[in-house]
Amino acid sequence: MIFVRRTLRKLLRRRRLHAEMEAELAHHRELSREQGNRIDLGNVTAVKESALDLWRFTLIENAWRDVRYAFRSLGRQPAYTVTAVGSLALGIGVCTAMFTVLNAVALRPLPYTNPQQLVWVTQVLKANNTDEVTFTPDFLDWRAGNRTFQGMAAYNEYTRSLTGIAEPIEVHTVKASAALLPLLGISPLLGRNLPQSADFAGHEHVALLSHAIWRSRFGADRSIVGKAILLDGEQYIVAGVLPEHFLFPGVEQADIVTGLGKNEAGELARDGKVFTVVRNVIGRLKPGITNEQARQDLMAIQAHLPVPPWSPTITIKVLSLRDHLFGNAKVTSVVLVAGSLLFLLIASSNVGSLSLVRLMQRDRELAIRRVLGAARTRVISQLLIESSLLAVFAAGLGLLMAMGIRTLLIAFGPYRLSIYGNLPIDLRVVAFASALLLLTILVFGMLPALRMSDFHLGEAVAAGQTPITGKRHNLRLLSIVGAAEIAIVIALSSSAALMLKSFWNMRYKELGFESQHAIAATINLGTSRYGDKNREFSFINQLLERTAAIPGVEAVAPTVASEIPPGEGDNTNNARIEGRPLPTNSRHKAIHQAQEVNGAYFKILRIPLLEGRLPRDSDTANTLPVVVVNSQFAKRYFQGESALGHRLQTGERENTWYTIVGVVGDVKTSGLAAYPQPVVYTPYEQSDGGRLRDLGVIIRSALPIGSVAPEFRRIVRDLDPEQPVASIETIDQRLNASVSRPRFTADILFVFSCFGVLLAIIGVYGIVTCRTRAQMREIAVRQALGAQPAAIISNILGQASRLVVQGLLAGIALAFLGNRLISGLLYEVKPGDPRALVVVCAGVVLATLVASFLPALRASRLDPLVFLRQD
Amino acid sequence: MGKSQNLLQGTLDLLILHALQRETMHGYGIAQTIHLLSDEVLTVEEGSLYPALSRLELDGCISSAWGLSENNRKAKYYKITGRGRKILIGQQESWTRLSAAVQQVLAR
Repeated sequence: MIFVRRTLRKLLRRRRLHAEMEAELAHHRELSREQGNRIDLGNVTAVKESALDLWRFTLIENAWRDVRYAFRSLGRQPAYTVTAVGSLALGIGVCTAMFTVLNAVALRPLPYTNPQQLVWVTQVLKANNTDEVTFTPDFLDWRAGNRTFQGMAAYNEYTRSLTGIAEPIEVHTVKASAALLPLLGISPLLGRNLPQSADFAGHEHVALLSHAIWRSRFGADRSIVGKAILLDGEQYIVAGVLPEHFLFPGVEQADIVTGLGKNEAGELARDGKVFTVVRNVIGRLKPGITNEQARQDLMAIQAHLPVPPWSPTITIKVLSLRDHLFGNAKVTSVVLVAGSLLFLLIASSNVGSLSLVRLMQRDRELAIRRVLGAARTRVISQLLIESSLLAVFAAGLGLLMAMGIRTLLIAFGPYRLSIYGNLPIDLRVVAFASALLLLTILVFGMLPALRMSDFHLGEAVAAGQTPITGKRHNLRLLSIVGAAEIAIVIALSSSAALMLKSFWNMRYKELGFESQHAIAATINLGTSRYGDKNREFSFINQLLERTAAIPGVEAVAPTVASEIPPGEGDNTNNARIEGRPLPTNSRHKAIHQAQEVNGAYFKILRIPLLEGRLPRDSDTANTLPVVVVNSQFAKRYFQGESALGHRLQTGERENTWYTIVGVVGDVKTSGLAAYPQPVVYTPYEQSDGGRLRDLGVIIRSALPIGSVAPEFRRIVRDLDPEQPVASIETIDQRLNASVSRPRFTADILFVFSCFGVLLAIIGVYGIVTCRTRAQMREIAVRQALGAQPAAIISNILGQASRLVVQGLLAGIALAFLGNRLISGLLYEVKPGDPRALVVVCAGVVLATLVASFLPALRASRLDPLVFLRQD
Repeated sequence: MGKSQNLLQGTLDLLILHALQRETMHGYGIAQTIHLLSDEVLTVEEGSLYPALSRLELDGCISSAWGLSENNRKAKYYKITGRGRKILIGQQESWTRLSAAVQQVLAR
């Protein structure tokens, strides 16, 4: 600090010091002359400089001069400067933006007190299928008997309608233990936390509002506490408002939190009269307890608890809360950060070779400076200052770019990134960006500068050689950089190709239906008003009838909302097939997904009928119960024989036999990444209706959704003014949304690799230009001796292809490693898929050969005499 | 440099400080004093004098101020500081020891 202050003071006094020193020397000489003494023949300037050198001006002055010189010389070559700054900025910007995501999901502490102690706990029940839910009585026993937790809280999520306000809406609500907020270390912004009594049935009608819903729906009314709101038609008293930046510890943010309301005594009696589950258990471990110790503790309690009659195998899973919340996003963001780092590496080594080319065009200038006595360190420091200047510009621009990309990520990213606190740019991000800056300076600045350090320019000039690239091993280093670049591009592009192919397979391959002109709406009919089956069916029938009457609507079908393709359906039923012994082993039960539809459903989605007939409108509650199954079902449970005419008992109506009247094609209804499962379609009027309260309506219309949706909403409002429409979108939109995550990763990797290929082309161009320039004399001599241009071109291309082949081999190896990293994200694509790799390699080889053709052509057109005379 | 002797490395500082102990002087005066005190054996050139003065001033051994010289011209006068005196004593002792040791070696 003292040094800096003194330096600054000295800089300000510089002129005066110079003047004083001159005056002093003049005085000295004058006196010498007057007194007849001999006058030294020393150089006044030299004396002055050596005296003032002590004040350390030269260092600073040189640096300042270098900076000004660097500005001038960068300004003289705007194309180079723009390319270099642009590509580095892009690299730094993309890396930093990706890092803000990684930072938000994996590095930043969760916004709770001592977040490292928080865990997510669940029972894993294995029977026919695996379920991750916890029996409420078991949770109560854990909470009472454990020795490793400071506290435990449970919550379940429900979509409910919020009414009694200007316009009814669907809200995401949570029923949570009163202990949840204190456990996290959060207190409400207004009012108070849920009372302890809200944990018990009959006392749960208390609510906490999220800050967002409080502002948007209640006008940030500070007197809201104590007032009543309506959820699914029931009154809840507002106890408080949550803080603005509160992050609910779930995958989705909660709009409203209400009491858990369990009949604890009834649950603990375990007599089957009251039996519920909780889907999320959050615990805070005692200090020093590991997840495994906590799991052991809970398992020990579990061992004494009764197992339900269907005897599932019960294990317990304890995950740190962060892994539960961000597990998937973490893998993706690591992939993205790694990809963008590779990208930056390419960009900076590229700019390195570009600046080397530029250096070679300046070799004479630099050589002359050396001959005129510039110290080697001065020349190197000047080059370093030039590249640092570039890097600093690029970093500044990159940071701006990162902020832009961050906004785009929040707006379009599929991960609801906004809930991660809007991807803050904190100290960690700034540190990361600075590290990137250093990296770029090192990679692209040191490369050319180091090259300068081991040759003797003066001698080189004297000997008439092209001095800078005169040494063979320098060229070899350059080739290694080029080969590495090609390798990285191949690894990156092959990963991108796999991701794209995987996305393509998921989105378009074997969907089993056509999505054109199909619109899907969903409505949650609450139990409170539609618990009565007649009311429910009358609503559905009227809705279908009126919707079909909208001009331009061709057909309308009901279905269960969660089963609308691509579906999220993992609900399964068991069916009993007539004439077969009651299954003892769960594997022999006819497990299937159930869907309640009408005949139009298959026509709208163009699902092919393979055998028999489709449901008809005449299949009603009073006619023979029938079902249609899909070909998976027929294949799995009626191997070889026709399924038609067999009878099933499904869970729909107790003791009713349903006759299979048709077999239809398979449709993906368990998400696009899963294979079609056996499905039984029941005509909706022959079902018990319960599942249809989660109502989906499929509409076929050539009209755009923009003109159908308002009509549909109006019809719903006319039928029931209190009933919100949960969603209405085209099936295509649903399909796109369901693949938005893999698509997002694929798109970003694809953009990276496009830029990567572009950069590799620039890089190879730079390297080949360097090499040909180094061999100019040789080429000129050969041409003078009669070599044809074609021979020269093929010679240079031959050298370039050696480099490409090396890069290719390394790239293939690297690609296998990289593809292993993303193998978990792939669907129906093998990580080692040779076709993708071959296509990528061919593309890269072609592109790089084109890049090296240019300098080769230029070299072949060289006039040997002009060149040789130059020396 | 003629007949005059080269100054041993490091002794110039000692001589300058010693000269300044007697009185405040400008650069030329210091050179002349050393020249005369050494019976015209030692000559201090401006090329070594002024860098040495600069260094000593930066080290805080001497301070400087502009004043009028004997012939009514502006000149920079140097003055020894407390720190300079302390260093001078230390350097004098070590010089005495060194020269005695050299004498002893040559006498045998």
